[in-house]
Amino acid sequence: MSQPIDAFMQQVTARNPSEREFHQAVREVVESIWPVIERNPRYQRGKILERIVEPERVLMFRVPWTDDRGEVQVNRGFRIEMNSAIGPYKGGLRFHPSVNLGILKFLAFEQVFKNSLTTLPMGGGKGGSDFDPKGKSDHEVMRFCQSFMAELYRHIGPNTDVPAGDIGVGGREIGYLFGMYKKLANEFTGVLTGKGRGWGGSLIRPEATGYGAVYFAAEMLARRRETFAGKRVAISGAGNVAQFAAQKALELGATVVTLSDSGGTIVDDGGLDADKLAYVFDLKNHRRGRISEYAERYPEATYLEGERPWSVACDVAMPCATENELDGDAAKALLANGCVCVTEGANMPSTPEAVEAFLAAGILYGPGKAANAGGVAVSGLEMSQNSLRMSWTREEVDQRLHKIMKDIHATCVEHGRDGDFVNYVDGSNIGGFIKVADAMLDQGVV
Amino acid sequence: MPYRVLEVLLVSSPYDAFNLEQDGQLTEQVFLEYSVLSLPSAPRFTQAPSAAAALEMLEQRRFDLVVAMTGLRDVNAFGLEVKRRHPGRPVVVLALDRKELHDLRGGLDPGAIDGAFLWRGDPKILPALMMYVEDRQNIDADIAEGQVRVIVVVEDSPDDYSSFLGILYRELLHQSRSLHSEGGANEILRQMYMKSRPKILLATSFDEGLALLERYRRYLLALICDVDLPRGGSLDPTAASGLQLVGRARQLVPDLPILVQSAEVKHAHQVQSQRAQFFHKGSPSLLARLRGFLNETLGFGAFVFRNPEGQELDRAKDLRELKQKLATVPDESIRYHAEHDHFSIWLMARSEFDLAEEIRRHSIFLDPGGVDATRQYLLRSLREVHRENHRGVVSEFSRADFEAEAFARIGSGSLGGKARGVAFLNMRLANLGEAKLDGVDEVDVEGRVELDGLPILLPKTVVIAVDGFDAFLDRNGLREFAYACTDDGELERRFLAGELPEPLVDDLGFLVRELDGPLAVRSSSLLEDSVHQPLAGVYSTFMLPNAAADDAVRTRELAAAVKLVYASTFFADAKAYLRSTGHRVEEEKMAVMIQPVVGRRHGRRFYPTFSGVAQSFNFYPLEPQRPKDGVVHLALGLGRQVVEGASALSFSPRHPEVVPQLSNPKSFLDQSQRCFYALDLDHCCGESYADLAAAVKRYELAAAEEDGTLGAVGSVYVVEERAVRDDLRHRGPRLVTFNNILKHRSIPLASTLDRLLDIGREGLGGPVEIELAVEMGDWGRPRNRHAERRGPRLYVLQMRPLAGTDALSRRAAVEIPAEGCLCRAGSSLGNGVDETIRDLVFVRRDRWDPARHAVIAAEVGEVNGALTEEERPYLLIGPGRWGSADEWLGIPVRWSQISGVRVIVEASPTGYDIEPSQGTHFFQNITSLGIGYLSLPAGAEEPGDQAESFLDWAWLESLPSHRETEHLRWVRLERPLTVMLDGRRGRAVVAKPGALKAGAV
Repeated sequence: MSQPIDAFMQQVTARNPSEREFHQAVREVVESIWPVIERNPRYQRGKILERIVEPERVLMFRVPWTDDRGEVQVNRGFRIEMNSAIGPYKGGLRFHPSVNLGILKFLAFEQVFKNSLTTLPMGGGKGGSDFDPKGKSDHEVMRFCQSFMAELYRHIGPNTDVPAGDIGVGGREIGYLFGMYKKLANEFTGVLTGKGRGWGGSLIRPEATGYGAVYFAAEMLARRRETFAGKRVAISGAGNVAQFAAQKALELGATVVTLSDSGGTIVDDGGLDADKLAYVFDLKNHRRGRISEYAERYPEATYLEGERPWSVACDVAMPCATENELDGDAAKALLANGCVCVTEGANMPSTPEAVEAFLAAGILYGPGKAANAGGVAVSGLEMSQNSLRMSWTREEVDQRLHKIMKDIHATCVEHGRDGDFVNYVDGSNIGGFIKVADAMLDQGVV
Repeated sequence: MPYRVLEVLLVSSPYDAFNLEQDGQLTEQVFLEYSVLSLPSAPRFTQAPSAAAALEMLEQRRFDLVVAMTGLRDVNAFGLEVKRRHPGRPVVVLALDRKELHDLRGGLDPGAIDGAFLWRGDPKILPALMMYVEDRQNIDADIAEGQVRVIVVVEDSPDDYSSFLGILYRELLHQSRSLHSEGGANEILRQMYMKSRPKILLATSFDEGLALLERYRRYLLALICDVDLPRGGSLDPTAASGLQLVGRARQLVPDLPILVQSAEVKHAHQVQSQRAQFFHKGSPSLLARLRGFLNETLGFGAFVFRNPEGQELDRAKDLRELKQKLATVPDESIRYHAEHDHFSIWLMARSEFDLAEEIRRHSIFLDPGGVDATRQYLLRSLREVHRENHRGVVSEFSRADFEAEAFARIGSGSLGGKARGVAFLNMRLANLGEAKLDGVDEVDVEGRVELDGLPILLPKTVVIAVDGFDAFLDRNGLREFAYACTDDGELERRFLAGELPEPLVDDLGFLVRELDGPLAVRSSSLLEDSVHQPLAGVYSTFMLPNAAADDAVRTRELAAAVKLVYASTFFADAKAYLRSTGHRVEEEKMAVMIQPVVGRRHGRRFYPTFSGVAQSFNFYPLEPQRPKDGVVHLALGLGRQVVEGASALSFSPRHPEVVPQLSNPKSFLDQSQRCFYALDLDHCCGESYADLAAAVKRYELAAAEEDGTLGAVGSVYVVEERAVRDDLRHRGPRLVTFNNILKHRSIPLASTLDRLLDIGREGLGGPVEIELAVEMGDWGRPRNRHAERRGPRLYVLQMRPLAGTDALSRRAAVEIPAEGCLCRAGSSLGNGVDETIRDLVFVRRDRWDPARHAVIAAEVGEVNGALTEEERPYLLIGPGRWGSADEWLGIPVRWSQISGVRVIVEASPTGYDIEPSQGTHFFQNITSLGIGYLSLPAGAEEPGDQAESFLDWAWLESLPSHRETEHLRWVRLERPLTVMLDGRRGRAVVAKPGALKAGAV
């Protein structure tokens, strides 16, 4: 079995020398979908794997600009247009000194499957530059963005390629990029997502990931004829994802018993209520306080300094803080305390040992790839609103988000079902792949 | 004609020159000495900024003494050149630190340099130095006149004799001065006595000492010597040659008073058996005992009004009293003193040279209005001179002139380091105003300087000079107790129970009424903040609301704060710090600076819009900053936020639009200031340390938004847009970005600070650090047609030399292969080579936990205690910011907990990226003590020849422990490490023992 994978990987490595990150990403995807490839000779016959690892187009261009001292600087710009089988290329722009072709290809490759999983018509791409916004003035950043767009604008468009932000590209950069695009193309279109609220940005962006994760968890529970009502939910983190996950979980009648930050965890056995949650919103979003202050304000809560929430008894665990925050030991503790559902609001919060433990125990485990796709989904919804020239209300966006999460869940079930059990890890990997692969076959050899 | 040092050429930076002019005690001593000897002109200091300039000036004018302070590339060559062009001209060297002196001493050419002394941050060395030169030149002529007595001092350590000669001369002059002012002695006797001031002759070996004793045996007054002296060219520590010298002296003069000093108590008995007094060199009471010794063996302030018969009518102890008394004393007395030039002489002694000269020239006999006209003339002159001088100089505190004075001194002693810096700045700003120098755009009607349209001000400052401190200690009998006491609580109690002199209490009462609003009471010690003697942040500073309705209550609070500042001189932390810098507690004295707190009232809170520290040299420059562009750290509210190293915003005044911290708005969410300090006006102070200190409180940023102060410096992170918006109307987390000021230039802060740093740097002759506060006034507030609109103002609170930057190494770190290095750092502080460290203390990687940082700090303190006990320097390795106020960012050690450290390495595990320490006081301590400070990027572990920064953990962890605590390991090496710090390039290497021999050196 591993023979053909190795042979394929050798080929990928030979064709893309010195792109280590890309090799790694390809290997992971190929390993997880290999059974599907084997079961479906049409994919082999159509050389889907060979085609899918080759970007449709790679743009690499010079970005010259003048710094504040009048010195000419030269950076390298990239756009990897990886796959447009199911929609216009969609993916972020990253400005960081570590940016190179290999890294962007790796990110673009992953983006193809992420976007596909959302069920929205979005292909995959990624771009950026080795420009470092650190240590640059606003004016320098602006001149760089303008020079970058002076080349990129001819390759993108609302129906071709719709870049978004990523590391080093926030609201400021999106603004400068959009301004230059508009000037050069002489049209106001939704060519970038992540725009300002006043000029085409969508609502519910901060809420999307947290809400989405809860919607996804609710779908998983529903398969077991259960709901959030009365469930004890342990959430880690206290940022946007955690806050909105808590808010939505409360709405659905759950008892949220924990929140955490880098200092420690608060445990409120009676659960947070709307007032307490409002306090957390103010504490974290306005005052930038430490979560420990919650325990000072509400004496019924206890503060576990330096600890994470996973030792607290709960029915549902939602790691919403950071990578690798939930390890094998924490997984064992959760399982021992009767946890039946783990839904990842953060990116890769569970270590491989923890994932293995959850799958072995047969509990509901929603990997981040699927459960936190809400963020990507709203980006897609921004595109939809722009092309319709409409701004949906919060409720409308929220409804559509809910629908998308249901669809993602359904995709996972379809491709991950193993008898009564659903392996959401396999389901999300395969679901994302099949949609793209089938579209490619349908569209012929192009 | 005796040799007199009348013109001194000081080859030094302008700042050192300024210190000489402003330090009352110094000028008084020097000038009193000379004026009493009725010499027509007073000695004058002229300052040359370089060797070349000095040589040129020597061509143009005659100088009697050349003092080369530091920074000369080749002192010998300079000395030789001076002697070649001007044979016989004395040239002495003042070294800035022990190491420099040590390096110099071996290589000094006796034909070029007449002596080497150590500058210990105390300018009293300078008169000592001049008198040393004079005494050496004049002794034989004086002897020939048969009037003079000799004190022979035999001491081989320049460190010790530099300090000791300063004390000795000062005491001698002090006594001469008191004699001079005392009513009893008649004019001729007094003159005689002053002229016959004992001469001090210094010998640095047994042989030299014996030669002096024999030669001047008939004129000997006393012998002061060390126990261990070189004899016949070598030093035998077992020989106790000093005791042999005592024996010889006894034979020559059987009842000669003899004083023997030694660091070894074991000699005491033997010394006493030779009928000599024994002083322990490390004893804190050395000064008091020396004073006692001199009082026994030898036998001096006020202007005494007399009638022509010599009968005392009245006396004035200072200029203020002189003015008062002049109005009332009888005509005959004024005539008598005017005829005898007494006013002029007395004023000379008070450093009022211009006035003295003017009065001397004004002949009473030419005054057609008679004595009364003379009286009016004197009064007028005194007042005018006073008014002319009030801006930019240190005036004597006077209630009548209080309103006009920017800087006043109560008492007549030294101002202390911190206040001296403020006085210097006051003068520079006044000079700028007068000269309308480059960069000064505007001088408004009040003489206020504006740079780029931003007014620069100094808060009105009153300083209680150090004689107030001495008076307080003596009056309440606290001296010996304070030297010995190790209990801070007990010190606080006893000092608070002590009484301040009544006139001072009256002055304080005046101040609480006149200085409207809150008061800052700051320490200003002799050693504090001076060039090479950082004690920054060691002593206490208080902020008082000064808001109680009852004047008496406010006066009591202010008096308590003054006493507590005095007490803090002796707190355990301060004593530990003094010891670690090689000072005796007794050397330290405290002046107290009283200023209105800069700021504005917002309900019960009082604070300036923001405060900060500007430094002309940036130790941690980030692209595109350059070290010489300087760096500014700012925070909303009172400066404590910045000084304590808490989250402040840092930028380069040359690149205000690039704030590295803001590059990633999301990570700035965790770093940006969350709280600020303000004075609580409703705080009832009481009179205990804790009560007074508690008036400054921490508030959340929301309070500043409520007060309307956040708008000037705050921004909002808009989550859905992933963008920072400089407008508080947006919803989202508040950030203190200073964008409105730095990016949108609401006030020209960056350019103003850049110029201010230039002005400071030029004045101090080196890198400078400025503490500042800005009050935005009515900026951004709705217009009120009925009230005058207040514009933004920048207040300069302090200025001091930024230590550690003056003598960057000319020696680059040697290249050593990676396997020979314990550690290599691409970012380091400090300079030079150290080959003495054999002890390593490091935070164990396997036990490290940020939550345990406070515990780790305590453990470091313990190990430090053991190491300082053994007097072993050590290298300390651990994660994050050392000395951080926020224990999540690093190990929150206080200075006393790491007082013996020689090199600190910041080595954090991957992912623990903490911005380097910005606690300015911590920093100044590090750099001034020459402590090496190496910063490794987080996770720098792999040794490799290409690696710019690494730490060989594997080697370190393979070493056997000398001792272990829960989180630390202490390793002792057989042979020392070699630490090479390249200060110029900011790089460092720590070589493993023996690596240098094996390496490519």
